[in-house]
Amino acid sequence: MNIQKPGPGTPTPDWDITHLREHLQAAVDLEFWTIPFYMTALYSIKDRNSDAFKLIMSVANEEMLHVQLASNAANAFGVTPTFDAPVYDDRIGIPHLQFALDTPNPTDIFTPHSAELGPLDLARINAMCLIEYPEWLTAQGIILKQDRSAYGSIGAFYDALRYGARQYADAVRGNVNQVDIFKNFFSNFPTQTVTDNGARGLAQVMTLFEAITEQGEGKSEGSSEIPPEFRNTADDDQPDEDHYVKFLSIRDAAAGLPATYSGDPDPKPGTPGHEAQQILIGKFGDFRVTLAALFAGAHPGHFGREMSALGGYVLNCWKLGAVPKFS
Amino acid sequence: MSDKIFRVHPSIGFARFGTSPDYYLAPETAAGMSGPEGQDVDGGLPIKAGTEDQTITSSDLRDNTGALVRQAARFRIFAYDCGDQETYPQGAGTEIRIGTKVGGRTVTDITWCVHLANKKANGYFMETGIAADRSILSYYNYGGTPGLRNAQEGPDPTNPARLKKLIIDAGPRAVSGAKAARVAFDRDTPCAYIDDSGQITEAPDYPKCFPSDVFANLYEPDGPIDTLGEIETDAHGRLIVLPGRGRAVAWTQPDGSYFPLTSFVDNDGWFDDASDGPVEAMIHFDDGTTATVHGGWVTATDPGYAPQTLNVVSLWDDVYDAWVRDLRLQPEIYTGGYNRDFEPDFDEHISPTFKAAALQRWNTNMPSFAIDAHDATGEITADDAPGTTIMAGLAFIRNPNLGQAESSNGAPLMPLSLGDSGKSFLSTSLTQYFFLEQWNAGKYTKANPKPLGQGERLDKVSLMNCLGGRFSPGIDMTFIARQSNLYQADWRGGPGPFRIAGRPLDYATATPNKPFLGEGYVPLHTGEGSVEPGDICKFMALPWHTDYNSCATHTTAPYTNSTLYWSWPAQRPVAVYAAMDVKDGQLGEQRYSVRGKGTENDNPALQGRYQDSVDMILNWSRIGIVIQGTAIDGGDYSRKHYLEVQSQLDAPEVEPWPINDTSRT
Repeated sequence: MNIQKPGPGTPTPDWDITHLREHLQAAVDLEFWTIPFYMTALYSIKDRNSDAFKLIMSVANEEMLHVQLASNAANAFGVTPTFDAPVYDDRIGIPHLQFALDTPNPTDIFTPHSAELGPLDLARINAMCLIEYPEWLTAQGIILKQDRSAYGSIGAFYDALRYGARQYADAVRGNVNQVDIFKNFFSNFPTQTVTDNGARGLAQVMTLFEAITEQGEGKSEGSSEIPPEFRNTADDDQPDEDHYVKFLSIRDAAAGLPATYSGDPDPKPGTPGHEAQQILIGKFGDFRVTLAALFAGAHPGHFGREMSALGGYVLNCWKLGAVPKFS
Repeated sequence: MSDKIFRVHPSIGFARFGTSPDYYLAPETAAGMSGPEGQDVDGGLPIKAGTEDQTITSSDLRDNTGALVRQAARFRIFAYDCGDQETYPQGAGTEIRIGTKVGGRTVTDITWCVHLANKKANGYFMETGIAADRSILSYYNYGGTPGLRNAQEGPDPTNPARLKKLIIDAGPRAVSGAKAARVAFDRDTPCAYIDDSGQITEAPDYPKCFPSDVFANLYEPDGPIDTLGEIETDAHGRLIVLPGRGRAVAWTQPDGSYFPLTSFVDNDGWFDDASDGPVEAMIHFDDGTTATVHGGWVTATDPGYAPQTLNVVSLWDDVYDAWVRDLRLQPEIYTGGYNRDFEPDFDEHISPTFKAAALQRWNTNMPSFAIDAHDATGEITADDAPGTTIMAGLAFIRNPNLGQAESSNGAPLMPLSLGDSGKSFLSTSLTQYFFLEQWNAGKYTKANPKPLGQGERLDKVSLMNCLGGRFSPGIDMTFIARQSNLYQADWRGGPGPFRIAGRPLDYATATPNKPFLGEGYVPLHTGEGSVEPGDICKFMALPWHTDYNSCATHTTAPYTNSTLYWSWPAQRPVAVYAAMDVKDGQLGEQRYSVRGKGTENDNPALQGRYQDSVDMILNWSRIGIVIQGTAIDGGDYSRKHYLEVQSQLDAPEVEPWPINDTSRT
């Protein structure tokens, strides 16, 4: 059911902290879902010096930051995030989003689209644009949903999350399983962690959400430029451009989409492609376990290698004739 | 007996500056690889003087006055049975010492001759006027050259008056026998060479030349340049070559002031005491006969501040690549194109690149997740299926075949350090990358079917412990190492590979008032056999201190963004873990290797170096050395840790990468 926009500071009787916590986990799910999806498209590109490759790489890097930021926010509200294997199925779509609920419906523009893993083709780049579709083009005010899967855009989803978080500032606890791995890649970012309790901690949570939306998903107002404090200062050739603009530039490039590998989604056992898929499935499973431990306050020693290595496993699937498979 | 071929090894040896009269010997194991058998250290550590292979410990790095001990180059002779069908590697060779029996005769003596000179001041610019998007070498194309250093001394690099003023030429020295007394390359010690009969002959008319011979008024911040080093022999008659003291001096401008240090690489009006030159030998037998030996070359250059950190692209990688592709070293690998059926050996051809990547963390400020990723690279073994490793698909290795676009592509491509002149980032050599491709395809061996012989191993190890890639212009040997006409191309059954093609020098023709050495080797201009003493170091920075000082971190050139990248961290540590900061086995915060008074700056782009280059001339010998924990005396340090010891500098901690040039953000 939809809950219409409440007034500022007005608690919503039937949207309680349980809903907030579910939404926080949903935010982690959503950010995490994008990583295999984007990496699969990324490593399908044969020319890694192409603009498309570099742009998607920069977005994928920021999605990993978003996983960290969403997980830090979740932990601040007492939610230890989990990292289930994402599902890539057109019958299910992109988790928590139903674009048809947006008005105007962006799928009218970005069709065909597919939520299944595949090479960087029109269906994939359209899906990527839909994921990063800016809310400011469709903003209708804050709408809270009982159903986490009932948002028309990520912007709407994060609007709801912000609103809900404000209602429960007292629940914020600082320094709970906070992770700060990417600090120096965003040297102007005030803080990527929640270190305070209560209202001051809430302000930090809001900064994390703002970074996520300003970098790409559901920009709420103004220009499409990422504010300086949230720009990558290390290794992004276009640090001021948000994800949507980057993906749109790939989609609408005069030269068309770059050449990609093709692959069999289900190669036969015993083939190199199948073997590469099995390696990726195993390694991604290990990575999910490590992520869960990392955001549960542990110090898993192999986060760096497991995260860094994924690209090679994905690339190997494509090179060996298989569509990457993560679970 | 006449069928024997005698060769000096290593073919190119490296001595490294220090301020002490004492020395230790250049490492005879490669950084990143196994150490000497029975010793609890990995490779790359120098060897205690007077020993066969006992590696040094931290106490050996300075003498009892605190002075930095020099690294000497040790040369040996090996005998081979090979003809013009020789293949590489030989896998054989017998060391020849005094007393060795060879073909029924006994070696009674070995006579050595070395000639050291420094031609830097008569060389060409390596940086000044070099465009960011062009290689230094490209300026030598089509009959051209870069601008000449010290143009105020005349425009002609062959002019005798200019040569006399700008070349430091100590001339030749010769020694023989076992435990021969030290002979200095100074003004007072007579020049001597091996004559046709194999005897040591003095050359009293040789025109030695030092800075104070031609410039009356010199600025000598760290002392005069009055020697380029010394030679002696050990108990077996092997040659030991000691370098100079790492000094630099300036002369005066017309207005009477000393030339300022205005450039990282090309400073007119300055000398330093780097040097290089040929190493010749003659073997004497008990029947009165002699045998000529195919000689080597020695270079005296920057200290080894992290001797156990292997460069991801070492000098070996570049020299070997030139030999494989241009000099038909191993046709089974390359004959106009790479043989995709060739199976490289994991330990010999592939593992060094992985080990080197892992070792960079000890000299750089990598973030923690990157350290873990690099550790994973270093842990790859021959038994790991490539597709299961972090190097799967070579997704993160910069492909040198893809040109400028790839070399401008930064993280996550590796190596994540600065590239050659004209290239933003470093790439592996083509042959290195070919080996990695073969490994990635599962085409490699786990047991080397053609292991190197002992002498061949010395050749390789010597070059592995030096800087390759990042030739902007480079140290140790610089970008000219890739030029095939630098070497003796007709190597089979003769000199063997990797030997500098030196110009034959007839010392009997030397006269007092005429410079003996000329302009010498010029890339793409002179042919094989034109390399004179001083022609290798000629392509290095002048003085070496300014290059060393500046080459901590830079933004890329061509420019990509304000992020700072490491220049040649395996040779020039940027950020280190000090042994004194280790507590209960845990590393402390990192410190800049170059730190303390005179290094302070708010901009990270200028930190970790002296703000005034003269301070590096005064303080280079106070910088600490990074060595393995098990080589550190006076504590219980982990073998897994490579820690800075013996620093005489001090200062605060370093932020992890990435950090930015704040003047450009």
